[in-house]
Amino acid sequence: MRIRAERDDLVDVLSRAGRAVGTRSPLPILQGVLVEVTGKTMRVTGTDLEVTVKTELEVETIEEGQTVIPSRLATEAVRKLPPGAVVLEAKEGEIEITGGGPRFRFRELSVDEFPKIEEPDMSEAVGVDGDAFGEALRQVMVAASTDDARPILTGVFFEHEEGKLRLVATDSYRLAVRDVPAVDADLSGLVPVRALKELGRSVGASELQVAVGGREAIFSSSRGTLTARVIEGTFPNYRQLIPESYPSRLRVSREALLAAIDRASLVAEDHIPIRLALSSGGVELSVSRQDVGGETEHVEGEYNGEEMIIAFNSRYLNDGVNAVEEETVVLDVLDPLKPGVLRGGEGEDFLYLLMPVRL
Amino acid sequence: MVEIGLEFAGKAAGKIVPSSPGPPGSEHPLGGSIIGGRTGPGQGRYRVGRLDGAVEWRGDDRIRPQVGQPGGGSSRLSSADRAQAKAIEIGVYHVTGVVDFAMSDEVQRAEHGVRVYRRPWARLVGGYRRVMGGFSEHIAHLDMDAFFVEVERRRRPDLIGKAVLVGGAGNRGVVASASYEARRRGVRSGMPMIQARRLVPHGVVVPPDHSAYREASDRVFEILDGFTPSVERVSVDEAFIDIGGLRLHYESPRACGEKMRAAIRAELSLPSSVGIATTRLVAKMASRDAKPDGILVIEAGTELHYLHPKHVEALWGVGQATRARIEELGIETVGDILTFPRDTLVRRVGEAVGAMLWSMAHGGEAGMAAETATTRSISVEQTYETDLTTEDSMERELLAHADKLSARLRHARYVASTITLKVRYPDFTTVSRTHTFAAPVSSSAEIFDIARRLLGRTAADHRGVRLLGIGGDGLVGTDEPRQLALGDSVWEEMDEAVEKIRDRFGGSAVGRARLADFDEQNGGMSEPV
Repeated sequence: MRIRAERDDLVDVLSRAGRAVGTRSPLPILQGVLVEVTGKTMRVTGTDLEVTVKTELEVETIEEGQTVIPSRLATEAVRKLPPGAVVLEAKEGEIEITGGGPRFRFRELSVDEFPKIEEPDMSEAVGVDGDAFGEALRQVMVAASTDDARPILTGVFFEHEEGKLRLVATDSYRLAVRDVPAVDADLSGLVPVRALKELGRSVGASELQVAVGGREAIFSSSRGTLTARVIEGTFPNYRQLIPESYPSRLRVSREALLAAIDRASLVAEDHIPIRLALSSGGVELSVSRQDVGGETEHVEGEYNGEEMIIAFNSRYLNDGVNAVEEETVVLDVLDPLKPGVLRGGEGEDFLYLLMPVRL
Repeated sequence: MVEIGLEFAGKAAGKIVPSSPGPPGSEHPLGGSIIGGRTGPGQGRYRVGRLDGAVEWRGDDRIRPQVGQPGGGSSRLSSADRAQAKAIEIGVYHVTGVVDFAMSDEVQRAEHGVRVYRRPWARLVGGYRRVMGGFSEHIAHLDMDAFFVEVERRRRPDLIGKAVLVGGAGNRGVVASASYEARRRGVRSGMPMIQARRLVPHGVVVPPDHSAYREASDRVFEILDGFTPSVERVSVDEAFIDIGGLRLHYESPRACGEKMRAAIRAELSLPSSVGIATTRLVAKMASRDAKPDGILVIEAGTELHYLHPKHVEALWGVGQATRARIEELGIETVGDILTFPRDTLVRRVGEAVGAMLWSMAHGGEAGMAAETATTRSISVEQTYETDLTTEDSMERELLAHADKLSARLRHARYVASTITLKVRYPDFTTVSRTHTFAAPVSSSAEIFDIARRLLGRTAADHRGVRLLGIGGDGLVGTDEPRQLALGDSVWEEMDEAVEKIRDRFGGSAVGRARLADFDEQNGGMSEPV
């Protein structure tokens, strides 16, 4: 196998496929990416068995063939070459990378050992606006858990709800729900956040084909294809967690609230919550930490309801307010021990529910 | 119970002892007279209320509202405030960890003179003792004598006078408690039953009935609570009691200790031994020397005299490894430690243990304070008569453990940030797996869920299990702020309901469906934790 391509193009396809390669994989072969050259096309595949990224590049083919090259090393090697044309060649168990003078040689990995990746089934895929979809995902992903002990909570749940796509994530302390009215398709499954986080940088584009089915989730664009094994198990029944009515509602500027949370967070820690004292003039945020000090400030707003003090973890609160993409943010509360719900002042498509900290 | 009204200056609610209620001799607003004023910066001595006692405290005499709280009417106090509140003693009652008087039930109890928070007390003892004067041997260590055996003897008089071994009778059985008749022939608790039976061939082996011991233990502690709320439960049959507050009621520490022993014997027909000293370390050693059925007071000033002839093994925290190392140095008795400079000791036996030994030999209690000042973990574990080999049996055990751990956490008023699973394989190799939660937990459902996952990360499924344990670390008081979880309340309410039933009708009144008919089949021996 031997090809020639522009350095920057080569770095791009290698590094994007490399995003699926785990840094500490137990199998040495998974530290490599599969490179296949047929005709004028070079395809690069990286996988950690859970998430697979395939990218493609049109190259000047000198000799067709396939090889597995060490992902991180080869990508960095190409990146460090002088700008211009780069030749990538595999022969007799060695990979050779040359361009503008320098010559790298690496041990080739075994093509036979590289896992067989099936071609993703795109027959059910629907087209979505990649930017809007990515934005919707970002809004809910913050609420997902990173704790591998509870795999169910490390994914974003896709479901088809009343003629639109709904995305849901929870780490059991907060819950984010985002409806995507523009997408009316039967996408259903629990997609690992780890895969979704790589989506934008690996194959994300303004036009995206999406299929989420029984075994895998597939995201495809002109830049390549990302496939993720869906998480097995039943997603918690989140509907029962969302209160049906809210007697008390705060409306406040998102920007002002974010700035206030940011200042309070300087003093707050994971176990030191921010207290919100809600009253008709708005909300007073305060934090106080034993042996350190505190911060208090008032954010003007509109509050209708019973005066109360409710406390939230600063990070959870920040994530939620941040995810609301409107100028005005609404916080609905019931009482200091029941969840609060954040949403935009106008939109109906997003809500972020968070459990308070009991004082 | 003596009624007393007490509050602190600066608090919003109601009747309060002003921080400076008046000059000595004047009437206190609550009734009693003031017998002294400030005795120094942040110290004072007042007599207040309807109780003919005295109030003493150290620290700033105001309780400040916490920084940044609207109105200051908060239920949360800074550590300094809590410490100060704890250092206030009213007659026989220590009012400690006092909180917002207007709101919580702790407060109500405080108003009735009952101490609220027990655990942090130990940390205050040093400062407190200096103020107190008199009654300087104020730490009592009460240890029930051959507790399990004596509980059995109450219902089986035929066991009296015989060598009795309480413990599992099977191959894996271990002596949980031995009567003094058996101990005289070399039987020790923790010894394999087979070995013990060789020492006392005519001994009577009684299978343990932990619910009976637990019940008797609760009664013992009720009696001790009647003396003073400053009781720290060390184990089922052992407690440290700060008797400093009882000095107005007993002429000497010895009289007080005798009264406790007599009360337990009168009400429960159980023998106990008491050691009294100025420090917990010495008190604990003294109670051991007082056994059986005795009392030993080590007078203030004679601690070192008492300690130094003791074999080093008697010191807290000296296990086999340390013993071997210090024996190399030619150290046998506690007194021998004094012949070494601290640096040498630290160099030879390690920083932690060396410093601890040196400190203890000089009458300190560095090692103990760390052990007992705060509870660091709570755990439940069990060794099984026959190895567990099926997933179902292991899960059932984990469920039972999770239930117990949850109840213990709740009783101790903690939630755990970290859950650790301990597994001992049949070949005695032991592994543990740990999980730390984003927010602490105490519900049995959450503990079980994580324990089961942790079990999946061990080789238990193909190697089998000899011992299973679940522990909670990173304990956070339930009165600390706590992140709530979605759907949390369902489990918590259930756990609480179950516990109420158990409190009222006994431990076996309600249980997990999955564990039904299980306890009887299980011949395992509980290991004390």
